[in-house]
Amino acid sequence: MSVSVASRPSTPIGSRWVVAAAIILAIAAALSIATFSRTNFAKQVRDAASAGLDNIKTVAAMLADRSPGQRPEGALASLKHKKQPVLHQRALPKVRRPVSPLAGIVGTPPVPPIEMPPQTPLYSMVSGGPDVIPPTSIVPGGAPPGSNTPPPGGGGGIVVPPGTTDTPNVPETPVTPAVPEPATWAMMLLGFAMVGWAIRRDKHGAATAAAG
Amino acid sequence: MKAGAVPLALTLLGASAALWAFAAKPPLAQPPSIPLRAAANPTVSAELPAVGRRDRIFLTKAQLKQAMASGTVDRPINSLLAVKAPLHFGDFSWNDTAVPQGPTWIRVDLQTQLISVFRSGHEIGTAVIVYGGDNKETPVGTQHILAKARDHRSSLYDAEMPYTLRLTDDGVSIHGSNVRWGAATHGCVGVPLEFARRLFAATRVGDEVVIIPPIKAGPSRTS
Repeated sequence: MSVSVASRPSTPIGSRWVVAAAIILAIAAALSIATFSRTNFAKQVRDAASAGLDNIKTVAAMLADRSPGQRPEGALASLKHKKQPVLHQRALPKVRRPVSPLAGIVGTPPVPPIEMPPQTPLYSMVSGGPDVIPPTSIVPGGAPPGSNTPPPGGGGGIVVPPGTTDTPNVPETPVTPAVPEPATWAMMLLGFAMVGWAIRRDKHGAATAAAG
Repeated sequence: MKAGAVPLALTLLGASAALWAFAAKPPLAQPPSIPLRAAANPTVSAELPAVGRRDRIFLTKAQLKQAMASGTVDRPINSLLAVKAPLHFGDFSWNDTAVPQGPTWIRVDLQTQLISVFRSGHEIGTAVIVYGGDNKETPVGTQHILAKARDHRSSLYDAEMPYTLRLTDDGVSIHGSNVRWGAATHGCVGVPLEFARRLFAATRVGDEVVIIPPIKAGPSRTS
């Protein structure tokens, strides 16, 4: 009994030391774990989330995201202005066909259609070649009277509606040549010579006047 | 009992202190630092840690497979720089922190108007470029850096071309330039000047340069 009585007050003291040591150990362990990992858990989660978003995309998509885009095709990307195909077509003079004298007459007997190959236009003002004329336009049947007027404007390549026929023997106006005649050249050169002579005389006169 | 508890507590305290001191040490010994040419951070590890990097996007195997199958890259790459916003003309991004030394190659994409520099499979720099105009087109395909010239002056165009990396025998190069919208070159690849300085330092003669052609949009024009 006496041993047990004597040992009773010592038990709380010993357990108190043990509890204190355990607390110190726990604090030390917590500190060491915190030091060991050294990272923020929330930050890691955020990183993983953002990495997951990035890893959905393809490499090409990621590169396209940072790109300013494709360079637009245009004058700024070109060091020299590109040739415009429309502007570089030759400008041929416009040919006007005379209006048929039968145009205004109503009730004339229909002109018998003449079996001739379709007249191919000399050039095309619009686009394309003679293939824009539908093949029905050369079928000679059923032409209404008075409708055999050539289309106004006289340009080739205009789509002729079916049922009309072109007058095949309309005289063509001669096309003005692009190169001038020799006489025109000579006259122009003579004019230049005269202008040059006049300037030269003027200069000489001014020089002599200044010297004198 | 009381006399025996004090040494026990002291022993526990000492043990915990020893544990704390041991754990507070860095978990891994620092590897010998590798000299970097243009690094801001001198601490370099041999392997690039993939976790916890926000400045870099590490590719998955599926992404790499898709990129190589689609022809975006012609060789394996590990990571791309995380560029937060679209780059403007004259902008660039450069980060070779902790990227180990290794083979360097340059990817020039005329479609996206971007240049990317890779070292050891990691992208270390990217910038917006200007490239050849319609009449003086930049040659596409794989080139090699034939020569380097820090202060080059073009005799053909009578213009300063700082930090020139020459690619072809007829003079097509990568060099510092005024990168602005709407500009085109006579075939060279123009990069921002500061980017050109870093690129010049990061590359050497013989490094590969892969130039990817633009995708012509729309129907082909008739002339």
